[in-house]
Amino acid sequence: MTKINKTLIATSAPISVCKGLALFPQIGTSRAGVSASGTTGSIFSTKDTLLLWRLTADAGYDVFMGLCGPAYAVEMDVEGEADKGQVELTVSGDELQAGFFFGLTVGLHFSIDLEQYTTRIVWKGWHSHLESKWENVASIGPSIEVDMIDLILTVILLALEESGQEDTLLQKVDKFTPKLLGSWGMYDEQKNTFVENGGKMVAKPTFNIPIDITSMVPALKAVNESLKAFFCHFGTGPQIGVQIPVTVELNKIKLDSTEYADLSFSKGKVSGKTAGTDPSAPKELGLTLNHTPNFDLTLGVFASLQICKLFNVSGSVSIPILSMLGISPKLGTYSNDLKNDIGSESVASCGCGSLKGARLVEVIFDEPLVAGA
Amino acid sequence: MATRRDFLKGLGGALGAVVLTSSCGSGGGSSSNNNTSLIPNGYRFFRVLTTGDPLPEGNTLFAMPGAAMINSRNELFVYGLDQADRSGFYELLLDFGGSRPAVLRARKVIREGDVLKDSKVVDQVTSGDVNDLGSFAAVVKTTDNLSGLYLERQKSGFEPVAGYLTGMPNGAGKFGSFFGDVDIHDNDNILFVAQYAPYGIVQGRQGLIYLPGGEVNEKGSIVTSTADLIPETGGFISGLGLVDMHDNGNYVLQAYGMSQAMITGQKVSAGAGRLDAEAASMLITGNVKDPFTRTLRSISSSIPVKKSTAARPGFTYGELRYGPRIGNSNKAAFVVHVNGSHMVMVYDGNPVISTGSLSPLGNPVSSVAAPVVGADGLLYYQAVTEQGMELVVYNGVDSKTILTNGDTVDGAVLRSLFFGFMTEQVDKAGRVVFTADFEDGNTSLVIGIPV
Repeated sequence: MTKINKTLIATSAPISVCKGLALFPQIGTSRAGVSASGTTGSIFSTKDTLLLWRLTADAGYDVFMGLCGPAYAVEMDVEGEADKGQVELTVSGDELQAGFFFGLTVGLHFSIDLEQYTTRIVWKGWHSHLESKWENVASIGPSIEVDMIDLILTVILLALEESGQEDTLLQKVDKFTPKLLGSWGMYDEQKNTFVENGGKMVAKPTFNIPIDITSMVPALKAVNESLKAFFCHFGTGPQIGVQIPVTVELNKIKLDSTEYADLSFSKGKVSGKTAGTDPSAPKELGLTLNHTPNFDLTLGVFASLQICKLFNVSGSVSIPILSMLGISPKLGTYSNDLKNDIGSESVASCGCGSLKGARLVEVIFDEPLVAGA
Repeated sequence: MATRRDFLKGLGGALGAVVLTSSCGSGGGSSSNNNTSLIPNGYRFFRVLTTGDPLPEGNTLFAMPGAAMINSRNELFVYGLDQADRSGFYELLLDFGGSRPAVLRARKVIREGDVLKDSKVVDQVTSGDVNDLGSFAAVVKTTDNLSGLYLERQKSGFEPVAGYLTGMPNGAGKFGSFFGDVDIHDNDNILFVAQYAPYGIVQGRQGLIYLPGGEVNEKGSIVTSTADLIPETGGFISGLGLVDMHDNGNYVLQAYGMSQAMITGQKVSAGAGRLDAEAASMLITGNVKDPFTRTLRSISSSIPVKKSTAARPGFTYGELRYGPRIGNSNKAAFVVHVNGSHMVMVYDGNPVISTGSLSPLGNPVSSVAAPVVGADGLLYYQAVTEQGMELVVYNGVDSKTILTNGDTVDGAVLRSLFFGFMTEQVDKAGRVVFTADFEDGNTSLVIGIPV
């Protein structure tokens, strides 16, 4: 009988999505890599005569987004024994995180100029006449740049709570690229579900936020304070949608080069069989994990200017975030190997987006087992 | 040309401020044929509320920018600011039995700082509408930085109907925090624009939501939404603007959209990409009970349409900047900005007036406001001319001016009037309500009563 001392199997210690395994390894890196890109553009632009007014209104935006991931990270303690071609391991402290770290710096630029055509009667006896001219009555041009997630954090958390996504975490993390005003981790976390779920861990970080931010930014709130005198309202904000369901499944166990398959799960233990011989003094424990990911990330920006039920000009832009960041999710099932020295209860962490420092964690990617759409 | 009018206008005070209607070419008086309504011979105009007047709860009216409404319960509603710069709607109940309308009751409907039934505090009312039941639907931005749709039935206070993350009709998703225009009609049926997060789709949308009876339940529906096809084109709706609903569920909708060519023509590149998506505006008509049948009535020339659509009587190319209106028999009235300064008003498929043409008083028109459709099918609109402005009534054949600057109302000379800012500015008796500036320096809520 071969005893297997308690061994930590993890993508990093402590567990971190940004140091985890890429959900879509074909995008270039085995680890969760950093992608960053920006865009700029116009939401609407109009110059119209409206009754007595001449309105010139422009709305534009610039967006810089950084992404670390999407990825998943796992951590579990494994111990047990191998005997007569069968390995039996007890899994404890298992944890899965799936999601990404991201930052969203949004600049919003507006220009509203309102001129009024004024007509007055000039009383000069027989020479009385009307006098008309254009006069500027309002000129508003706020320009803001905000960490969008920080700004709408409260409403996102409310959305996650209301939608039952209580496992989805959103928290500020260290900036992973300097151009961002802030970085956020958005991921789902599952603990101690591994054996109960037959060796599967499922994470579904999801949210969808259409939000008007004009009351949250003092400069924009001041715009609406000015416009209320005309029963006029200006609204703008992001439409952020995120969906990253992922299933991670234990597929094989390895003691050195000996593979144990046909895994079964019972009472907190996982068992596997091999047709070969148990190694007498194995040095390395490995787990083969399959993950099946999906990923959708959308970002839109809208702006709307309305005067009573008289006038409205609106625009929205849907920003193809994934193509901007060079991410083209290829769906399917991917296989990864995680290994550690038997008896080791630590793993070295790696640099985000690279394999540096990951000496004790070997990651091997196979081709997708199932071609996706 | 208008000597009879000028003469009688000079006698206005003696006649009790009756202003006779005047038309270009056809003279005053009534006209009709078998298919048109009579235009009244004249109107009596009264100032029923003026800046500086006391408001309910001890405040003073400071300004009225132009939003005024009337229903068939003799109730007038006006958006105003008080001396503390707080904005809100006020209601006047009028008695028309005497020689001049008398205010029986004045009431604050909703104002900044009010506490709503859900304990939220009003920050700003961004859209509102009334119906003949006296119900008031309002989009309210509250001090918690969120917005919601609220409804007051029978003067009993504003109850929340829809708000951030509340459920949508038929469990279709959850509302976001941006609510656009709102319209309320008979039976408290509400049609409004709102952002929402649909279930099962990660992309947020903007929808035209119909709530029969003003309640979110299985009878409600999403009439149309962004990502729907623009009727009669290959493009997609990208945004929704102003809306008006009339009897039997007929509605008109100002929408924005992009053709496939516009979408695929967007420049996107990593790092230094630029993405422009200035949507084209359009008018869509339909019925809330038949969400799959929609008709395109006007659209920006930047989006190609079918030849049969372009050949339809009244179909107009241009930008739809103003809120469209709808009256009985599904007759749509709207103004198209052919370019930034040239406008054409269309009613029931026929052009009514355009910039550059002559007003009923014979003045070149430089601008028009959004029209208002009366219950009897008469169309009311304001034209700005090189001589000032005119309030005009149109019956499908004749256009007649019922008020112009320089006219006297309750002893004050009219300087400017603001009509067409809301959809409910004419009641079933043909009374018109609007705000106006006077040479005495005040702004008044004015009602015109046909005689």
